[in-house]
Amino acid sequence: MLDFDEEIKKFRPCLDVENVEEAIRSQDLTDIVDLIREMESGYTYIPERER
Amino acid sequence: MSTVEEKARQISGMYYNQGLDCAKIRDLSGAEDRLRLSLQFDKTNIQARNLLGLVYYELGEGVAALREWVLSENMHPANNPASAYIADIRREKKRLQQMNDAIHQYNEALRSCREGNEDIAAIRLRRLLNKNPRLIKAYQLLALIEIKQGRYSHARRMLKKAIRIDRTNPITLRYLQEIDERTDTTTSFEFRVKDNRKRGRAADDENIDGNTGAPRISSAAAFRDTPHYVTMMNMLFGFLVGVLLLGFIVVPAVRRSTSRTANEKIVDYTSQLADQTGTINQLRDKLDTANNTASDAQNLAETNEKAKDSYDSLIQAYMCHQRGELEKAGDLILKVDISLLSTAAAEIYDTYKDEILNSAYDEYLFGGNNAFFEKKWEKAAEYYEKALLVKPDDYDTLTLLVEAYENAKNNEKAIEIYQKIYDTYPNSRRSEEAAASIARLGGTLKEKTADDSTVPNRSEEAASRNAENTEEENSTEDTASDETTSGETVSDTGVYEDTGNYETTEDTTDYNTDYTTDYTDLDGDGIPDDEGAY
Repeated sequence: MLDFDEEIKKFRPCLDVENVEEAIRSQDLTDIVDLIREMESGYTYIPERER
Repeated sequence: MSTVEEKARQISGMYYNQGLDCAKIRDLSGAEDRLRLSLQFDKTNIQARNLLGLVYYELGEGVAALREWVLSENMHPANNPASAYIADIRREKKRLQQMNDAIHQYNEALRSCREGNEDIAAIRLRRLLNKNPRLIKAYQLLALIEIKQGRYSHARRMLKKAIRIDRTNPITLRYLQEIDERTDTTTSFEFRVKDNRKRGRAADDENIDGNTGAPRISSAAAFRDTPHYVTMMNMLFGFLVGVLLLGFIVVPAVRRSTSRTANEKIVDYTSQLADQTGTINQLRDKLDTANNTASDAQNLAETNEKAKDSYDSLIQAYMCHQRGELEKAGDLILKVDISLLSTAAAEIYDTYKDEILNSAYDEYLFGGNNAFFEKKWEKAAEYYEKALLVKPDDYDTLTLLVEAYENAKNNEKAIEIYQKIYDTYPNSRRSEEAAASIARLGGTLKEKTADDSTVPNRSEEAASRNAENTEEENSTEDTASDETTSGETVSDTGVYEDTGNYETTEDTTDYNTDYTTDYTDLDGDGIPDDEGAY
């Protein structure tokens, strides 16, 4: 049986045009390669948005 | 390091391919997941990012698609299909505005749902879906609201539209399963390939096929379920069509066939009946013929028997005559039917008949007279009847016979004899007396006329004439007596006192008859009769 309230919680708002710039800027583009490089270099990779 | 990067890129490529395969079969949810994984292994996988943007765009999330394409263009500006995608969107600002408005309304509807205003949310969702029919989340949210409110058919319809866009969306499939469980139905899917171009849909509804190598997502498989009531209606319609076919085509054909068969049988039976009728008629004719033959044979047998009897009578009559049995001989000779005799026998009959009869006639008279004197009236009548067979017109015999009948109180036979006398001796005193006697006995005289017209009864004439004669005689006697008593001569002047007490009858007597002759010779034998004065 569906729980209406639980299902409603699963729905997320869609991205609108006004927020596209913010969405792009905050997009985490870290991939596996970045993580491996970080592991190899011994330093923590900080995403650009946190810098 | 380069080995790791290489490996990561390979994995990214693998996931990209998988995503591409999913996108080809319109498994957009699966494609989205795999493309995200691909980008997690290699964020510089431009193809994966561009394809992910296409997937987002197909799912109705244009802004998310725009984000991906912008990132792709920034990562790789040269020869990037994402540039073209972005240019198309910017060129169609109205379209972008519609998409943005739809997203706004979806967000508002979602907020209304969380606040408990499902009705308002449903209205917003329906409105935005008219503008942006690709937003799967809106279909799903609206279906969720419809399920909560019990409108399962509406919910199913929304989810069917969502399935057209994303075949394997887990949320959509889960909601459909929920509806099936609640309605105790099974949603049946049938694939229907739509050609967007043939249906003339707008260009912006087509997927953007850029240089990413991603194939154009063209066909959309459509699922359609058939509710039970539709199935029942189809069955009912089919039943009605079958009944109509049966009533208008099959039944008349069967009836025609039956009628034709019946008519053929009728014709056959009629011909058989005619044949049998003819046979019956033939048999009847044969039967009639046979009956006639049998009748003829019977008649012949009877005739032969009669002929035999005649021969026997003739022989016996002769033999009796020879022996002196004259009366018996006469009886026997009277039985002979000369028509049945042969020529020779007839000659013998003619030779001896008169002799035998004359001898027998005397015997008959003798016997009759003896019986008459002995007052044996029946026996006397019998003898006289035999005598009349010999001499039918003998008046004496007739007279004796009629007297014997009268004495025997056999008035009927007496009347017959009087009638015979009347017929034998017409216009004579004998006939008049016979008529009077018939009247006396209460009989009716039968006149023989040609046209059977009513003729006055001569018996009445005779009676009236007798009365007149009697009156004349009486008047004559009276005159004589007058003369005797008074001693005076009374002349008969013919004038009488009319007392008025008498009956008048029409006198139609034929006075042309010569009574003088009849008085003297009544039997016409030339010998005057001495039967008394008339």
